[in-house]
Amino acid sequence: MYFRIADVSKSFGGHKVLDGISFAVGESDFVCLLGPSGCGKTTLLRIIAGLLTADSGTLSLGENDLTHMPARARGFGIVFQSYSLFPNMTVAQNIGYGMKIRGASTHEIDARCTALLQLIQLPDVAAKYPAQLSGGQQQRVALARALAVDPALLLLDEPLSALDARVRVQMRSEIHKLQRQLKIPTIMVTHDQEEALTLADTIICMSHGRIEQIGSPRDLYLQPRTRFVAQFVGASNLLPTAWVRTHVPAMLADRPDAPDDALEACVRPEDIQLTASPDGEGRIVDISFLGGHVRLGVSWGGHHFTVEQHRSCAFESGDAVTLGITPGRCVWVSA
Amino acid sequence: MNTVIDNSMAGLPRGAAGDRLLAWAFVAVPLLGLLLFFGYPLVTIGVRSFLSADHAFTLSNYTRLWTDPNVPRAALHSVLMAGATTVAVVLAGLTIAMALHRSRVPGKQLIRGALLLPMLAPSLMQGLGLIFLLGRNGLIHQWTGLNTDIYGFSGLLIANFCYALPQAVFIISVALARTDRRYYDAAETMGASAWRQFVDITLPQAKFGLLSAGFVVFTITITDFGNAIVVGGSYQVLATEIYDQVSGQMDFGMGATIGMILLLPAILSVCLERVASKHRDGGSEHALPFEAAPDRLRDTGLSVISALLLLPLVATIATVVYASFVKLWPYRLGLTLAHYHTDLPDGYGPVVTSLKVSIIVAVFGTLLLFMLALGVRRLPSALARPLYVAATLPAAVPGMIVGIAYVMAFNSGPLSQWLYGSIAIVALCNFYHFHTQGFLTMSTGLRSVPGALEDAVSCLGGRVLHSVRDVVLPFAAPAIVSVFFLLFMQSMVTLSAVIFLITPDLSLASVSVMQLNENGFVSQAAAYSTCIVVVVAAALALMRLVATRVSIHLQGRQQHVA
Repeated sequence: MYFRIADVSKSFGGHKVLDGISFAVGESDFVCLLGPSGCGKTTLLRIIAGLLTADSGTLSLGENDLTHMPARARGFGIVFQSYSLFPNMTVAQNIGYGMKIRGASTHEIDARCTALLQLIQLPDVAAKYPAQLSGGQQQRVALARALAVDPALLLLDEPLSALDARVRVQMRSEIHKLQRQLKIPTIMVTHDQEEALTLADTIICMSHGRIEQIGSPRDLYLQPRTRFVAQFVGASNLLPTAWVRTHVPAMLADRPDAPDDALEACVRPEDIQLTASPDGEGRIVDISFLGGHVRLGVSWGGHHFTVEQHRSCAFESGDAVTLGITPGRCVWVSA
Repeated sequence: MNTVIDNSMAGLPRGAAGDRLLAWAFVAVPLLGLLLFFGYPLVTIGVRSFLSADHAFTLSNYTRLWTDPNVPRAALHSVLMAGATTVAVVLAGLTIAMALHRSRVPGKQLIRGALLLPMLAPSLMQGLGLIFLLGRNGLIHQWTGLNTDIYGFSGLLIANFCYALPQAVFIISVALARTDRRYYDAAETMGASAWRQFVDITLPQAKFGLLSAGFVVFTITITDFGNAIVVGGSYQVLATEIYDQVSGQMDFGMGATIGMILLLPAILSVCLERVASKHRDGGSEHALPFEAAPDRLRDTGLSVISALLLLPLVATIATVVYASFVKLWPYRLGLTLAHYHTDLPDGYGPVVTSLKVSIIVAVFGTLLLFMLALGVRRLPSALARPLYVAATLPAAVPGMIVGIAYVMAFNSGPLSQWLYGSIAIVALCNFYHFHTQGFLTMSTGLRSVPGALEDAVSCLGGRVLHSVRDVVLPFAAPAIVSVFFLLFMQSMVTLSAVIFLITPDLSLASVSVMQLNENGFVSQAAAYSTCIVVVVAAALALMRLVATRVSIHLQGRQQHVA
């Protein structure tokens, strides 16, 4: 593996914010650090960038040990959420900044700058100041500035979260395209699971300073290993073992051997079918219309389910229903 | 594009050790200055208060405080006068702050302008103006024949009122501006009357602001010297008592001891300020500003009251300026420039000296404060906190005490041959006297420097100096400009500390005003004061101009995205 981080821990004032973090990033991987705010993902990114030193653990890039190397010697590119461009420099000066520090010639800088502006599809903004650009354009320039120094690793710290919803989606696909095209290994921090699912080759899902699960987006959604991942990535219905035994004993078939309260069954809302039936045990509690589909709250056996159905279904609040769970779509997660 | 760390093209800068050394130097140099030119004199004066004339340990200076015929009375006068001023100023300050932030009073710029006046003048100028107006031979007596006698309590009260009002308005205004409009919107929709809103929202939200204004006013009045010496008359207060002990009777031990007593309210005030700042008033710097609905009764009332409250500020300064051009105040009111030909032996030399001192203070002070604020910002918080406290400590020490402490520490001893009677000692004294305000302004300015941008510089291969040049300086420029002119203006007008440092060969503008006044050349004192006001006003205008230029330069290009 290209970039490696092994057993990194970090505490702030006795409070452990990172606890034994290890993972690796391949030569052209896009890795997302996903987790709620306060899970330590930004601290981890800052340690990777060299802006913060870890209390213990090691970092390496290829054959090089990075652990004690200062940020400026690592040769990484970084893009922050906001305020990342020099307001008193033009776009061209911003992009050329890192090269200038490295002593590149004006000619070299100009050529590189023009090429990068082409790449980010803003060929005409070189002489403008950041304040004259939109938020999305500013972030694209910030990306170009990070790319200008041929970064060994590209770090993105919630680069899209300060943007409008529409711009965010558009930027997301541009980053995706750019990363695939340039094949620069990239680590992005985000709390937005949709962003992580669409962009990443590998998602590292974090909670309370620990890694909960590492896997492809598909893995994380279809095979969550913990209750936290099941809830944080997509919506899910979590069913205690005792409840399953009483109401849907068939689901116990693929349950690993473990004490009752060690595991819960996770069923995604779209994997439940509703059938109207007068003597069904389920009751529709509420319905929200979401455009392409509807989300229904259903109570069954003292448990509240979230169910998603195509918008054509014609249920009303109070209807009696039976619930059917698609075979093989139940995953047992550690509680 | 995907290359492994490319140090060859890069020639990446190395030497983290050099950067760390630089960061430490940023802190060490200003800190050393603070220890040597603030800590050491202060310890000296503290020790001296326990020494007898022949330098033996004694408590007699303190026991004499009770037995001395004058000190207990002066202390009582000080407390009474400062207490009365505080009550008057806080009430007036709240009224004017309400006019500025909770009404549609016309001419808010005029109010702000009037509040600037006392900043431009040496503090004895208000006293001088009062004497011109209400003294035994003042204008009012001349016009009405009333027997006006302004010397004493009432005169001191009015003069200190003028001197302290702007600060109170400023502090209370900040508190009012931090209260979010939405509180009022909510109260309004629930049907609360304007009075209820004032009692239930405005007052509770601003209570720490009011408290803090009260302490600041009490401290600056009880330690003020300029007004006390000019209009105090026989109403002796602690500040004038110190001056008499030190300058009149050469009793430094006693001067030091009374100085220690004057430290008490100031230290108390700073401590309470610390406590208060922990329980900061609700609201934030990002509060939505309140916009008052039109209300003729309220606006007219506030206009009239504000005008009356601000009248003495404008009248005193205006009178001094006017009197400086009048042939023989108040008998022959024809105009003349004669008073600008001063009888002082060295003419306008003191103004030039003051200018030199102020420029030195502004240039070096700004540099040192910038280094210190930047260094403190880069240190781990365990170290930064005590340093921050040390840097804000000088606010607790009244100017007179700084002055006497300097005399005791530097008129003899190892540094005296370089410092005694020099411009340097006056500059140092002024800088450390005004250290806190400059440091706080600088720190606040540095807080607007985005950390992400500094991180970006590090990741792009930049070093500390790159980060200072390309990120910190552009963002902190407005604060740097403010600190520079703040130090300059305060150095121009201050009297209390430097009064003890002048020698026959070294005089300062504000001291000259005092001497002219004491020797009966009141019109020349007025002319001299006017010169100071003109210089300081010009500096202020220049500061406004530079600050606007700087922010246009920056804000025109400021990112508007989050």
